[in-house]
Amino acid sequence: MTTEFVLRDRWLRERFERQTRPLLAALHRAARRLSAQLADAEDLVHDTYVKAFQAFPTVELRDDAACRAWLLRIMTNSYRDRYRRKARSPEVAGSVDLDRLDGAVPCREPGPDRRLESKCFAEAADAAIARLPAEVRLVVVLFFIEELSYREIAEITQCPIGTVMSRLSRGRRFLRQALRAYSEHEPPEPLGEAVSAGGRDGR
Amino acid sequence: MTDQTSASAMTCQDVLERVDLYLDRALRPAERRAVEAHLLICASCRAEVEAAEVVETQLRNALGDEAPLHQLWSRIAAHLRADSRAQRVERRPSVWRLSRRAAIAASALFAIGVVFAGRRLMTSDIAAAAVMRTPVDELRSFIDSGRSVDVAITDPAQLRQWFVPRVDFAPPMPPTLSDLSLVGGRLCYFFRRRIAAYMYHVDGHVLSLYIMSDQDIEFPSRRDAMVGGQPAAVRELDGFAHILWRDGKLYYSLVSNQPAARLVQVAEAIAMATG
Repeated sequence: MTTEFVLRDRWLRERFERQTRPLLAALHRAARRLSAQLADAEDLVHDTYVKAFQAFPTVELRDDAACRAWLLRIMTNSYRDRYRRKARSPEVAGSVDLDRLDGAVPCREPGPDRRLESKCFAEAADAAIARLPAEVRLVVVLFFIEELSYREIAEITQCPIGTVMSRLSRGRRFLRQALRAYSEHEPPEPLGEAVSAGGRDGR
Repeated sequence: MTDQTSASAMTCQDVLERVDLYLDRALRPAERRAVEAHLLICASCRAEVEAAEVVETQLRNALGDEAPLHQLWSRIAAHLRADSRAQRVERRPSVWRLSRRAAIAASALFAIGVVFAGRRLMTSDIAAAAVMRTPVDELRSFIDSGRSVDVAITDPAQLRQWFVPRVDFAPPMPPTLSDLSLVGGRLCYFFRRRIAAYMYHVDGHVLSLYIMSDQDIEFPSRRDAMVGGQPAAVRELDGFAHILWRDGKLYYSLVSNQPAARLVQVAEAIAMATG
């Protein structure tokens, strides 16, 4: 072991940490909804960073956006490895059948005093996302948490854009139905403005 | 719902099929105008679109929560450091620093070696020096950082169950001995693999039993002791003792800041308990 190696490795590790550490919170947020337990989410993020570090000397990352997409692609692959492994395990719990939206009815109906509590909504959102099939959940998480466009999601998940849009549409339909009872029913702005503003930023 | 039959106008069905693209502002301008024209005259579709937007806005807000991540980063950073050290030790004498002629000669020798040694040299084995050093560095880094175990389960069967989906091998039951107090487990990552670490307290010391698959790991040539009837390698490094032995397809790596002689006795008892 030489000083030259030690310095080179330290330089590489510091460069990796500088470039990737700011993305930890974003990765963790996504991993939380891709995993059943907090410990599983931390494992997923951990795994992603370790794999990324091993591949780091061989990749060229133009900017922060490229780095984020690269980490998300690694996390996507790790997530897929995990759910495929779990699918072979007899203990795995089934996800909802999106073609039968009856499954979207929330398991626990909120009481009137809790309906407006955001915590209640957040819990219901977590529970509903957890019931989505693995690939639909992946697309939903990348869309709602990472706020990626259809095309970016297609690149990260290595799926055709049509498949991404179809999975996302099914996931959104399920979530809307599952969460409607928990949602505040006030419209966000006056009717005329809502129509003319026409929703969120473009994709 | 209002059902528009005009060719240029949209029906409720047309609008409901486009809710996602409308909310995402991904419709073509003409289509968008047609949707908006329909929404102006159809209260039912308008309610649908508004409800969808409210739910999705709340969903985005609800999913944006923040968790304390310092501990997670410390854990990742410690593994990156350990991984970095393992790769450094793993590297053989550096061909790239030799002269061009020497590098060619070295390449030729390497090629001949590959022919004669066959498959064994085709794999990138973890060198024996790294095998003995890395677990010590890992435990030391864990103690220095003051981190807690990943899971504080003290029931052996439950702890084993925790590891089952997390590692690529069938983890044995954590051994229970009268003078070892099981305090939990940690999922570690070095030697490019997931490793189960059973954590114990013994005589006021921390003891970590790392269990890993033996694939591509070179066992040290020196045999310093016998553990469970198997040859074991023993090293004392930086105030820590490390004993490594094999059982079937698994390596057991026992590390503690105890004297090596005492640790050999513990290793023997563990090997008997797991065997």
